[in-house]
Amino acid sequence: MLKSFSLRTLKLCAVAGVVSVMSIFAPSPTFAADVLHLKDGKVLEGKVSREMNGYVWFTWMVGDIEKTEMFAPNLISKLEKDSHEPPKAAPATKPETKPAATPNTKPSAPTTDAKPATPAVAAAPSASRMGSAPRAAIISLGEGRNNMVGVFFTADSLRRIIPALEEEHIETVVFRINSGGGLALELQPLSDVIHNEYKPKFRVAAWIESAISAAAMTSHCIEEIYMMPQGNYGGCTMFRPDGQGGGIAAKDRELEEVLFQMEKISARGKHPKEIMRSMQIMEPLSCTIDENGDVHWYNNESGQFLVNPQDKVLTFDAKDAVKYKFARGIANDIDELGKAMGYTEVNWVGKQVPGVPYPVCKAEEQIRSFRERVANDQKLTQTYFTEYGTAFAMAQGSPPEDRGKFIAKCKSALSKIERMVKNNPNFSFLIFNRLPEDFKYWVEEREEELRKLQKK
Amino acid sequence: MHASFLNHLVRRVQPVVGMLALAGLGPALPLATGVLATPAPAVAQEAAGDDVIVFTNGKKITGKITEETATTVTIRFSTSGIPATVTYQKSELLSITKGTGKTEPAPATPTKAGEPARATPKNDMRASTDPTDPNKKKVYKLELNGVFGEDISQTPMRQAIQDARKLDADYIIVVLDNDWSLRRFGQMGEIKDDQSGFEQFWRVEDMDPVLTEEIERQWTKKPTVVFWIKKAMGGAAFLPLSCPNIYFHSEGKMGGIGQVEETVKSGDEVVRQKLIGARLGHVRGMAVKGGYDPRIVLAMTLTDYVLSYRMSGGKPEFLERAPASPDEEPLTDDGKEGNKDNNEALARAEGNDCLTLKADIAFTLGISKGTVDSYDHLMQKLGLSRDGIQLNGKADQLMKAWKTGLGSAKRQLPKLWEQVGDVAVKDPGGYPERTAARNRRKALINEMQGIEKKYEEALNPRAIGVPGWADLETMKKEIELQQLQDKPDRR
Repeated sequence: MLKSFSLRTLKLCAVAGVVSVMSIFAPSPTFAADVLHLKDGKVLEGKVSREMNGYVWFTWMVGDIEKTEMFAPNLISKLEKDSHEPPKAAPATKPETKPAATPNTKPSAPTTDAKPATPAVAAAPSASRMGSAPRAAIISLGEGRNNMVGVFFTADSLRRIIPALEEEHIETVVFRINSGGGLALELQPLSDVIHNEYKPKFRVAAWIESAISAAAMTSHCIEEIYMMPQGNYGGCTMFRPDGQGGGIAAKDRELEEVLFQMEKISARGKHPKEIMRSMQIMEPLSCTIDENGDVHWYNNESGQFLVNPQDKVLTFDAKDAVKYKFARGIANDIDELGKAMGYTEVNWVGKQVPGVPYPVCKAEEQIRSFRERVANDQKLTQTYFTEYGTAFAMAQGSPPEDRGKFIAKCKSALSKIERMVKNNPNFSFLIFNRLPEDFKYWVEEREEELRKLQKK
Repeated sequence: MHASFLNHLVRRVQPVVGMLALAGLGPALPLATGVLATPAPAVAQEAAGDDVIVFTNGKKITGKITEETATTVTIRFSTSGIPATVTYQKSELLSITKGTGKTEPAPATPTKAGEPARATPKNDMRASTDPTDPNKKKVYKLELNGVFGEDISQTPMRQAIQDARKLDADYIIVVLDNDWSLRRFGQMGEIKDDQSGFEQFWRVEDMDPVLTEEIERQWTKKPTVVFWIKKAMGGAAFLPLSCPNIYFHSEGKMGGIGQVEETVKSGDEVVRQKLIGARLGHVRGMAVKGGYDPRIVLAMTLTDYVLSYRMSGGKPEFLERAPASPDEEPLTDDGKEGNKDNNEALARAEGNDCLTLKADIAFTLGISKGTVDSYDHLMQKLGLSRDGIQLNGKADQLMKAWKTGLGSAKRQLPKLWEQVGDVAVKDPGGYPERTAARNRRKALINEMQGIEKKYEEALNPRAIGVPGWADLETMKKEIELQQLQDKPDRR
C-alpha cells in the first residue's frame, strides 16, 4: 500500500534523495583508451573500471559529465582494450578475477590480457586467494508480515550493510524480495542506493517471491530479475487508502510525476517503459517477439501477445515474466538460482540459520536484525509514548523531591524513541511528521521540558 | 557454504533412480521441483508386438495395453517376474507405441559399475510390518481437519512434518477435510459453495513452506507429498496447489474462493484493479508452483472470467472464451445478467460463475490424479498396498493438541481479562495491599500475553473481545508507573 505526503515534504525528500550519476572510480578517462561495442550498435570510448564474470563496468564522458555503468555480457558485442598503460594510472591492487565460464556469455575480454585494473575502490580479491567460485550473498528485502517498503526495508538500511558485504568480499548481491509495497517516498532513495552504490561494486540481481507496488518499483532499477515459481511482480498504482479497503489514485500532476519517475527508473534497469506504465495505470500492454527472439512492446493491443488488457493493471506471474523475457529465469532455491545466473559454481556466503532457506551472511544478519528491531518498535510505539506521557504527568503532579524517579522513566522512554528513529529514520516523519534531520529538535524540546521539570 | 552443482545433482539423482527401480507398482509420480532425473532403462526386454509407454520423466514401461480411454491407459507388464496391471493418466505420458515389432537389447536388472545393486520387490504375499524393512515405503498420514487458519495452522503442521522426518517417512499423505460448516458462527448447516474465503490465501502463504520449502531444505531424502481432497474450501483450496500429487474423494470439492472482485469494493477503479490484480498474482503463483495452469485459479476466483476447454492429446487445452464448437466444454461464464447463477443452479451446486472443482472435473483438468474413496484405495493407487508400511506418527495428537489448546485459549482469554478488571485491593487497603493488587493484575496480563503469543498465528484477540499483546504491554507499563507513584502509608 502506498502513502503520499504533502508536496513540501515530497519535494524536501526529493531533494534529499536526488543523486546525480557520478563516477566513483578514478582516474577519470581523460583519454579514450578502451572501446566497448554493444549489441544495440552503440560504441562507447572510455575506460574499463572493472570486469567480473563477463560483466564490464565502463566509464566514459557524456559531454562534460563522467558516466559509469555496468554492462551485462549479453549486451556486449566486443570489448577492445587499449594496450598502452595510462602514465598516471593508480597502482594495481590485485589482478582482476577471470570471468567464470557461463553458458550464455561470450568472453568480453581476452583472458590472457595481463593489464591490471585501476579501480578507485579496492578490487575484489583475486579468484586465486578466495577460491574459484564467485562469492555471492542473499539479502532479504521483506519477510512475512514485516515487508513494508520504507518501514522494513529502506535505503538507509541498505547503505549501512555495504561495509559488511565488502568485508566478506561479496561479488554478487541477490536481493530476495517479498513485499506488498509501501511508501512512495522511499522509492527514489532505494533506487538511488541500488543503482549508484550497489551496482558499481557488485553484480546485482533480484529474486522475486512477491514484489507488489513499491516493492516492484524498487526492483525495477535492477536488470537481472529472477522469479520464484510462485513469484508475482507488478500492481504499481500509487494511491492513498480510503479507509474502506480501497484507495484514491494519484491523479493529474502527481500521477504524471510518478509515471515519469518510473520511466527513468525503468531505464536504469533497462526495462521497456511500456511495462511499468501498464503496472501503474490501466493501460493495455502487448508485445511481439521477432525472429531474433527480441521482444517489442506496445501500450496498445496491436502486438502478437496481449499481456495486459485495457481495463486491468498488470501483475506478472513467474511464467509470463519469463515468457515475455522480463525475467531471466525461474528459480526455486539458491542452487537453481545460481544456475539461472549462469554460474557453474558459486559460493553462497554465510552460515546456516534454522528457518532460513539460504546461508545468512553478515550483511543479511544486519538486515534481519534491523527488521526485528523495527517490528518490535512498531509494536511498542504506543507503549513508549504512554510511558513518557504518564511518567511526565506523574512528575508534574509530584513534589520536586519526588520527581526524579518519574523523570528517569521519561528519559528511559525517550531513549527508546530515539533508538527507534535512529534504527529507522523514516519513523521520524511517519510518527512525528518531521524530516529525519529535524527529529533532533523534537528530542531537544523533550529534554528541555524535563530539565525544567527537574528545576522547579 | 560452498555449493557444487555437480555434487547436488548426484545426491538428488540417486534417490530418484531408486524410486524408478520400483516402476510398475504404482503410478509414475512427478518428481519434486528442481530434481533432474536421468531416463530410466526399460524394466523388461521388449518383444515383438509389445507396447511401450514413455513417461514425461523419461521412464519407460513395456507390456501389453489392455485398455485405453481418452485420458488413461492401462498396461499389463511384469517387473522382476512380478506381474502387474496399472492405469496411468495420459497427462503423465510422453508417448504410447503399440507393437514395436522389434527387439531392443535391454539389461535385465541394469546397474552401472560401482552402483549398489537395487533392491527388487519381493514376490511375497505377506505384507511386512517391519518399519526397518528396506523394501517397504514408510507412509505418514497427516489429517487436516477443523477450521482453516485456526485448527489447520502452520505450527502443528510443522511439528507433524518434523515427526515424519524423525520416522524417515517416504510418503506424507495429507488428508484435507476442512470445516466448512456454520458451526463456528453458532449455526447449523454448511457454508454455501459460492461464499468466498479468498482472503484466507494469506494464511496459505504461512503454511505452504512447511510442505514445500522446509522439506526441500531439511530432509536428506525428500518424501513424496500427496494430497487427498475431501474438502478444500475457502483458503484451504489454495493449500494443495503447490503439490503436484492430488487425489480426490468422489465427494471431494475444492473451491469457495470466488468473487475476488468483492474483496475491494471502494475507491477508484484503477486502485481496485491494482489490489485485485496483486491478489490474483499471489494465487496464480501458487498454481504455477505446483505445475498447474493458473487459468484454472482465475476461473475459481473471478466471477467475470470466461473459461472453456477441449481435450487434445489426452490433455485439456484451455480457451478464454465460451465454447464455439461441440468438442469444447464450458467451465465458467461471465456471471453477468442472464448468465448469473440462479437459485436452482446454486442450490444444486451447479453454478458456473466461479469454478468449484469436484472429483470428475478435477481429474479431467489434470488437477487430480485419480478419485479414491478410501485410504486403502489411495494406497493401492500409489502402489503402497503391499509395499507401504503405515507409520505410527503423532500427527493426530499434535493437530488435536493445537486445536484443543486454541479452543481453550479463546475461552480463557476473556475470563482472564475479566479477572484483570475484577482485581480489588484487599482490606485494609494499605500500600502492601495495593502493591499486591497491582502484582496480581500484572501476573494476569502476563498470562494473557503468553497465551496470545503461543497462538498468535491463529488467534485474533479483538475478535474475542480482549486487548492484543501490545495493548497489554502498555497496560503493564502504566501499572509499573502507578506502583512507582505509590508510597507506603504514613502512620
